[in-house]
Amino acid sequence: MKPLKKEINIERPQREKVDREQAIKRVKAFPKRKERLIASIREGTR
Amino acid sequence: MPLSEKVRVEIFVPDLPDPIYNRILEELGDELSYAFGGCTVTQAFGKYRSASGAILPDKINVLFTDAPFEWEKDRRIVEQYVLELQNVVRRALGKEEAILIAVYPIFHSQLLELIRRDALGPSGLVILGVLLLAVQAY
Repeated sequence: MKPLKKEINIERPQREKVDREQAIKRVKAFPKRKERLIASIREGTR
Repeated sequence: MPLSEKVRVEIFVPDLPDPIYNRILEELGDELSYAFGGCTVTQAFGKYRSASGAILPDKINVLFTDAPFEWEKDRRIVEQYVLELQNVVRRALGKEEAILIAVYPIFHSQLLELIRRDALGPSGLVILGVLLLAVQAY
């Protein structure tokens, strides 16, 4: 019996490029994520 | 060679048996990746002197990222962010334990930025490799 040939294509998804303006926006919005982050660390839940 | 300025944020997380330290590493890793596009973790080994005078081994994980900030312009916002991160860890641990966070300006070679953006094709990468070898040999 012939083994099936499988082509495996491994691609690394492209990385998101975060520019300065975007980073500032995300950092400024950190207080909104803070409580959820603390809960995730404490309880190990997401 | 042109350089692009970044601000490195390093978070020193103790490598202790309590699973909460692993969760700190995971969650802060996600946070840095969301805010700046990625992060790296390196394991490090050191020593510290206890209050009783004994020198003890110290295992830590260093979580770091290079944020697309400019040190002079964005220092205030970085300081605020780092304070918030420290506050999160302090509250999550529920004790007076603090973790060390270091920040400093760092410079990336624009050439590396080009590689990251896949602007160079395979032949460009070969030329770059040869150039780097030549620079090393020099």
